Amino acid sequence: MMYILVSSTRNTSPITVKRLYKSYGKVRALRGLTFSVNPGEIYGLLGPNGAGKTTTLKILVGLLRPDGGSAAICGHDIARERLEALKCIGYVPENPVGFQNLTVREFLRYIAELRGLEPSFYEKQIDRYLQLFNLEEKADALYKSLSRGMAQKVLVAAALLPRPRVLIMDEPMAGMDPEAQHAFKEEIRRLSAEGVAVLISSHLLDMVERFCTRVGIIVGGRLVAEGSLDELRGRVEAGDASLEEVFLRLVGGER
Amino acid sequence: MSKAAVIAKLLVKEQAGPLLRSRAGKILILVMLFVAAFNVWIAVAVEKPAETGLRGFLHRLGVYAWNAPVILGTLLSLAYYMYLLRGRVGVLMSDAEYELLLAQPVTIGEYLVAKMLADNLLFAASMIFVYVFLLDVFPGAKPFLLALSMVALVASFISLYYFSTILLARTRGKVVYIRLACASYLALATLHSILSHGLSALYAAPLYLPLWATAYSISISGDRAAVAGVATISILLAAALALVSARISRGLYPEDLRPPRIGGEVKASQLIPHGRRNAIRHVVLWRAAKGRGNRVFLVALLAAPLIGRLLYLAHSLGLEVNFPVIVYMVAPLAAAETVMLVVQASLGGEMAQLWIYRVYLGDMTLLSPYLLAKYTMYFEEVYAASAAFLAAYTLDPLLLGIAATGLPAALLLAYASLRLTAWLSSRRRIVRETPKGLYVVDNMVVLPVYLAAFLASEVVFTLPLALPAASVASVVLAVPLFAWAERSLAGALYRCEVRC
Repeated sequence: MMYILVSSTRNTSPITVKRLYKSYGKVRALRGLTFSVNPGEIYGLLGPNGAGKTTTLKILVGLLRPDGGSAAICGHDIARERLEALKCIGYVPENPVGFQNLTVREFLRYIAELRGLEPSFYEKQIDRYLQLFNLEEKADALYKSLSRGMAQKVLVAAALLPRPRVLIMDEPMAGMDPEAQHAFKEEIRRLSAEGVAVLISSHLLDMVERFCTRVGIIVGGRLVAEGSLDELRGRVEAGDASLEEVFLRLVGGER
Repeated sequence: MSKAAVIAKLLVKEQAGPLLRSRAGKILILVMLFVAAFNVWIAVAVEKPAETGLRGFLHRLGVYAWNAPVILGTLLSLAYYMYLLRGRVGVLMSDAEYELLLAQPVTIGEYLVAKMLADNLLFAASMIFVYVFLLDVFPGAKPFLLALSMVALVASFISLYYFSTILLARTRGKVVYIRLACASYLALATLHSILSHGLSALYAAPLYLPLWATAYSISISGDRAAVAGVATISILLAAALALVSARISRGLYPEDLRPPRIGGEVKASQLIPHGRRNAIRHVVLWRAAKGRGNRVFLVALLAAPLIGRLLYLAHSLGLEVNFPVIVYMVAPLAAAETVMLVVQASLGGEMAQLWIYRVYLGDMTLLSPYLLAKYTMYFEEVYAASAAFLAAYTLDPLLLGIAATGLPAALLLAYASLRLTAWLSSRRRIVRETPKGLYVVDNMVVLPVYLAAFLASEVVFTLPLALPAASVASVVLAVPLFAWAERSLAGALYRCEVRC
């Protein structure tokens, strides 16, 4: 059952995914996934476990190779112009995997250097994000000594500090305390107002409902619905139902 | 104990699952069993000259069945002594074992017995490769007794490790007594060595029996009944020790076996050098060179010539041990063990962090030379320390050339290890702190590189004696080799889909 189709994928969209296919052996993770994220949009990618969300994100940041279809970031095809595409991206992975033996500040400096940033720029950015996420006291702590939530905040800061045009985040608020979640959302809203395209994969439906401007729901590697919350409600004739109810109806209908 | 058996089954499945479930895995097992059976048949049916292969090499170095248990036993037991002296408990267990399994109604004793059973089973199963290899390099060995002896050796090693762990966990807060007891025992063994003008069997005592059985199962001499008897007794002793460990573990908590990481480890942040190349060189290479993990290598490297001279003095004062022979035996093993260490370090470190480079750097040509240099450094340190020891002991500067002749081998081993881990991590999701760092299937995949490291090191240690110019040739050869390896590695890392 297809509730909506897929929005027009304009060339100007910072994130464009067209008929993406990916398999792991016999398991078909993505089956012709298509969607796009426009400048200033906060796009929530939802779906049950194993729907293909993380696979999609990993393809977008060049970690996985698509079997078919295309994905472009800021107009650069991720397969053909990977380097150019990656220059536009800030990425937060699903697991908080970082450099265990660097301090938080060193970790952020290192990422900044890898991005080719100037110290005069990134030192200010690092200070800003350490303050924003209450990490100042942990600036000289080793990454391996951080809790899950702290490590997550460091990875988010690392993604934000180069001021990317595209943010791709897999469960970015996992483990974060409410204060950090608030700071994170405020910062993302500010960046989106400046035109940054944000793609978030999450299971936190309450957060997505209040935070994302558009939502895409994938099931079995295919986009089954897309739109604002009101549009999705209209598709399933759900009145003023919450995103959770809408999600359950849509996913249930697809199974 | 039936619960222990169930848990052991679970642990084995968790470790060897991919091998047991897939058709390719089952075929591989069948092929291995066939090769093993064929090799055993050859070993029984065909008589080979006894002085060929590794045995002939060892005899030329002065190692025989009668002294091998003491020499090897001392080396292997040193791991225990170091563990006890260090005094830090650490049962290697996965997060799932810690947070899921031990949260079930399972006693620590049951878990430990299960763990020992599973470890024994998996270790013994993976030893089939070594077993087949040993039959080839020790012509005239007693195939079935060799297998039994190796099972005894593995069982003894594992039981002793867990017993020591429980002992340390029980005496938490009073570890100083364990350290004192261990240091006193070592002092006694040293005194005995000096008085008897030889390496004391006290050093090797914890593993003497199974090693005796193993040594005589691969020797031409050696009574079959005696070997079988000693191996059986060793297995029974290991089982008894396992039960004692389970018994004295009563009242322990899971956190006693795997103490939680205490947060807040702090050091002053440093500036990361400006520029991508400088930053990567600093973090990947220099940090690793100065890091805690490499300090053991560096200390060994610095101490090697000093120890060499001291042991020469001890020898000239009457201590009848041929230390260079020990180094010739141990260095190839150390190089091979380095393969295991670097593969684990690479899986948990570089490959787990590879997403950062792939996303923020894109191009791997900046990373690969430093990654390669870092892992070459680990292998090279093994060769350099051995060379320094041998040169100091014999006062023959030519032996320093081993450090140079080892360079191409170190480079190729580093390259092979990294290619292997890149491939491994693209095949499965990286699980941090798996019971052994690697699953048993991965261990099997690593084994060819392990054996290659051993054999390459054997060659390295014979080259300078035969060919002094080999040092210069090796360094010259290393330059184009490095250029090729770093380009090839960059391509492999770029293509690899790490599933972190």
